[in-house]
Amino acid sequence: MGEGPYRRGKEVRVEDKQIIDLYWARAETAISETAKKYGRYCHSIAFNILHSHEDSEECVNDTFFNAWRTIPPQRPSKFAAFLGTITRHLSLNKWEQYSAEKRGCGQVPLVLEELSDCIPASENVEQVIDDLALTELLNRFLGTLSTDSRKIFMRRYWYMNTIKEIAKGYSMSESKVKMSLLRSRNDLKRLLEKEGFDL
Amino acid sequence: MKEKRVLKALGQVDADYVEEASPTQQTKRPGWLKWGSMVACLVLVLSVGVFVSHTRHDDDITIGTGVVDAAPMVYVNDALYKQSNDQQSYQEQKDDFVYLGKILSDVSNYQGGGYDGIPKENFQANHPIVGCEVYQYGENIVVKINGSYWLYIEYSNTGNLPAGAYVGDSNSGKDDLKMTFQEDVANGQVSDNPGSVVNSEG
Repeated sequence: MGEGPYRRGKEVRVEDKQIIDLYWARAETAISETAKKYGRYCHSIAFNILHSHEDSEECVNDTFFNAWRTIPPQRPSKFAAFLGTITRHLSLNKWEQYSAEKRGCGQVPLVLEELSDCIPASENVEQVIDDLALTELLNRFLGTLSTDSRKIFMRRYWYMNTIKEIAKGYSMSESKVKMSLLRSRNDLKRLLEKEGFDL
Repeated sequence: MKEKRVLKALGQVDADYVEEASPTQQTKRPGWLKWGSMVACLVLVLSVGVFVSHTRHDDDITIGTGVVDAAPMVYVNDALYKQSNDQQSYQEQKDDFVYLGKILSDVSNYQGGGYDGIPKENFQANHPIVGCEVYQYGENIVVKINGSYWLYIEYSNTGNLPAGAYVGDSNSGKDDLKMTFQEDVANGQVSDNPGSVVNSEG
């Protein structure tokens, strides 16, 4: 695929590099092109967390504003992941606010309950892991998983898709998805215990 | 909450992992592939079923190679003889065995379109017994194979004749005596014994 715009149906898609160039040129069309290409993607991430179209739309707009503020100096190599990460972060912050107000909904409570399986018992740990080390450990952990297991893990705990959505997306049974997640959580717990970290 | 830390830390993992799992990147199997696989499996199962049902039909006919797996038969003195269904044999030569000659040829080695598994020339067999001695024994014959005298019954006495086979001289009216080999098999007249010779190409 070339770097120039390409045509899919009647819609002209713009390459990520060109969109980022627009940001660097401080052209306002950068936002509209980003919204056109990644608006739905970001919205789905926010909606899985917040379960509200209105709040999700707000998070998506904030995402684009954040992108405008951080590019330049940044030049993300994975633009979709860059935007998705911002959306997820903003949406989780909003969810926490709702949670404090007893308005929690969406997949987050279920996801948190599942992730509690990964937490080692406190008596087995030697030191509290900091955020940077935890992210580094998670990267290492993801690298040990098979591609399929990793995709399923990320779809559940990063994108916060439902089990049903994941099963449908990868054409597999829900029980297989659940089994894969259970094994991955057990693996993560074992890794945390082995490293002797507390959270 | 500790699990909330894990959830938030996951948000900072390598962008490659994020893109890899993106719902927009999911490699869902196309519908035609799913249905195509199912149809292919169905065809395979049916094919195997048909093949097995034909090959198990008295263990006599192998469909697919074009070669008939016939009961052990010999053609001697213008008559066709089939090995007795109960594979009757004698350990010693009897006084009333009359030596006729030896089996000279074997059609089981014949390959190709014209072969139907039935011997049609004198002292010809459809199984590898070339050189074996043949004796007249009443209306039937015995063939000495590996020291035993195996009984072969004249085919006309079995009631049916395989297609293409004829008994006696040309005046006997070949066409009247012919029956389809398939009918013969269906009637159980062609051997269902384990001595049946399997011929196959390749």
